[in-house]
Amino acid sequence: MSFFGLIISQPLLLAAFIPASGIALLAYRKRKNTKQVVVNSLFLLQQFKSQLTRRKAPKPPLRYLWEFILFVLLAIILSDPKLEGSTAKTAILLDDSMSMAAIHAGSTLFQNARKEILSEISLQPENFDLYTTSSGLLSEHNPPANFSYSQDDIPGALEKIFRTGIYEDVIVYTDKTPTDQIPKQFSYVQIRPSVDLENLSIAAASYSSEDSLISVKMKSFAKREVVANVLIHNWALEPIASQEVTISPFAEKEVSLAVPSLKEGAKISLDPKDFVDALPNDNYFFVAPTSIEKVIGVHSTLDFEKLALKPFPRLKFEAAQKQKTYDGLIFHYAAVSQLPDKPSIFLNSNPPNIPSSLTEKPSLAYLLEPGHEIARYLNFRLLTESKYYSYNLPANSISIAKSDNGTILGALIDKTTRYSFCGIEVLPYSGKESAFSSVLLLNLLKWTFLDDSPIEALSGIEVIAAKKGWSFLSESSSPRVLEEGELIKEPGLIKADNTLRSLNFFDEEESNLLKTQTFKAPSRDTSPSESGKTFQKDLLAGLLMGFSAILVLDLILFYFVL
Amino acid sequence: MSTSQLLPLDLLPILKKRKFRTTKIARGEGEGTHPTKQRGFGIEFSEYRAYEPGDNPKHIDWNHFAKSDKLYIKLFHEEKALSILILVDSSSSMFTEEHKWNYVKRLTLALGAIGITSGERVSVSILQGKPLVNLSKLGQLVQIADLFTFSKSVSNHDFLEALITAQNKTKTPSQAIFLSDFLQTPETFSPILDALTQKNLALTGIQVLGLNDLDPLAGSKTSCEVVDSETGQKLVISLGSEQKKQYETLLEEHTSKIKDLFYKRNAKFFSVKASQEIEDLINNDFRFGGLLA
Repeated sequence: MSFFGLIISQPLLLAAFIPASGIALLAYRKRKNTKQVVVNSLFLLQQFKSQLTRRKAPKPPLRYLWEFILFVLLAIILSDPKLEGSTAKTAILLDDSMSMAAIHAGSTLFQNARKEILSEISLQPENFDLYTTSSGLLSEHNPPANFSYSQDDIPGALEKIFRTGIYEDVIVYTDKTPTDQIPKQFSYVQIRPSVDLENLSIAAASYSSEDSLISVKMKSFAKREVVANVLIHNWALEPIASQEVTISPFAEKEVSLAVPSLKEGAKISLDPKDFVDALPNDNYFFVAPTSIEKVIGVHSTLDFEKLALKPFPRLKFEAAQKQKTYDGLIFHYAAVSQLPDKPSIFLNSNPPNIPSSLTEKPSLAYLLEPGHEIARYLNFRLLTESKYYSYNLPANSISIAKSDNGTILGALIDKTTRYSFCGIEVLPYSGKESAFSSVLLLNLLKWTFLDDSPIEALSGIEVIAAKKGWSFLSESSSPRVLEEGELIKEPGLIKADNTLRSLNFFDEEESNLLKTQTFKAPSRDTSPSESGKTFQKDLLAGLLMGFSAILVLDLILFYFVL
Repeated sequence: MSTSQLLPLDLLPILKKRKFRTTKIARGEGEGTHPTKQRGFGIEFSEYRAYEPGDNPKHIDWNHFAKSDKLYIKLFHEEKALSILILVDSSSSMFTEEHKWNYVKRLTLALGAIGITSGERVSVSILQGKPLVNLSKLGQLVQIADLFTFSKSVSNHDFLEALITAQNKTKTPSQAIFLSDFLQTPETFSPILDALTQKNLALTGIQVLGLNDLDPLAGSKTSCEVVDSETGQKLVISLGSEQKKQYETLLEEHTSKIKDLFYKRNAKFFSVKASQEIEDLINNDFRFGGLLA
């Protein structure tokens, strides 16, 4: 709110204007009712008084006016004023994660937050810079000119904003609570719907290659019965099966659909009828067929997002090998009858003679062996999953991480063969890409397949080879079109098929490699905004000095003159 | 109210031992113990006079006749009783504290009792238009106590006029004792003292100060509004320990100025705190100060 050339950021505190007059009046009355003492020697006290001062006492209305001004000044100071035209800037970070896509009252939480932000900055848009955690959602809404985006999560984006050193304040708009990801020192606006949103989701799905069945478990968070179509597409997105289901309020339902034999996996989608799904992103699920394949590369078998990989900074990129072949097996959602004689990784798979279970309630992961190679560079503190495979490993094995129900990350050396067990989902899912999976898998591969080269000496991991039509943008080079097959040797942005992908995905913060999430304000060099901030400080200092001067004058009047 | 309520009975023997002392020749009346200017046949020798027929031969100084062969009569100062006028200031400042006013009452009774027991004529006047009370017997002291029970609502009066009236009503007063707190400017008291001393009256001033007079702002922490008990004038002031010391100094200076006013008129002056024992006052301060013998 604008007031006599001042921008008042705390208008409620300005409401102190109203009680100020009352408080001043009370104070005046209190002083007026000073204790009376009858004396016999006033002529002596008059002499004594004249030794101190001979000032004339002001009349009561003048004193009342002074005290009123005193309280008004206090109210203005408390309301955090800024001069119009001040160049002190505020950064607004808009959470662009998929949870913000939840629909409420016909619009997403993201849209609601955006509306609120635009209203907030409408008075002085030049004093605000907007950031989002990615370009995804905002890019669809005609972003303003002073819009920046990063490919970070909230802590990562906050640190980048903070490192600029030009912002007086940072406000985060998100649906998450501050304890989740936002350090407490930042202001935040929590975008939450006022009513419970209704949602339908696929809770779990599995594919049995023996009887060619896909089992889908669905969950309803709706207050009424919902009819939905379960649709299954193959890797080429051709429909291969469908079934209509009716799900009772807040109930679970499981159906099995016969499908042709799958090699590459399938995409399951849930299409509710006459139902506004608040979070449609959990209406999809990918199932992969049981795979027992020879590992031929770090990520290629599982077809991870290679574009998302950025070498760990200490690795020497120049010497990176394009591919490295390991002699081992990865069991992905696979049940096997006996332990293979080759090093193997069991990813969400039931190993022989080792009891395992799939827990479906959300739980935290507890790191037991922080020094173990498989846990290297991983921070389990923020790892929360709705379901883990947990293993009851034999005594000679190592439990690296545990959930409430058992080991979720374990290692076993049987004679000379190594086996690792991972109950943590390492595939990208729900559109949320995380480097945690990549690092975990790399660690699993390195330990299981005895790639003993130390991390510092490791020649590198798979380098990204450009495809046709890709262009590249980095901090150190100007935008350029990549040649097909060209190795990308530095972090940056790749533009492929009109989509930006970040090579910084393997960022320290994103992969939770940082031990803590605290940020220190960097020392700031003189910047254009500094003068504006100094000016605002001067304004506050001036107001405070005025307040103090009137207070002192008032005290002098009361105690020495009157 | 009986006299014993104001004056303890055990004080009476002490009072009986004392009598008023005067350095001036008294103008008393009736028989007494103080020599007067009138020639007569007392104890103190005055002068010789030639014998005249009709004089009592027993007053002839025969020793003088033996030396000079002339008959002379030996004359003495006639001894008469003193006439003591006790004047009590009854302005508002005298009873802002009950203790102070009661103290003045007891002091008046004590002085009256001393005068009566030593055979003097005592008159007491509360300077507020009350009738003058003449006392000659101890039993009449109750009348003094009654004098003090006037309405305190009458505070402002013409002090000088009341004083002169009281003085005129007293037959040949030889000594006046003026009880007051003297908490007015010294200039106020000059004409009053002149009026009292112009008839060769032996004057004594007794200043009685109460607790409120000594420390008027005791109990006031930092500031308060003071109201003058007599003029009603108001003043808001603040006090610290330094200011309290300054007040003490100012009060001392003021008392000293009042004392000078009395001394310049060959009068006695005593400054008394209302907390001081009356017995101590009579036996020491008044005795060694020349008021009592």
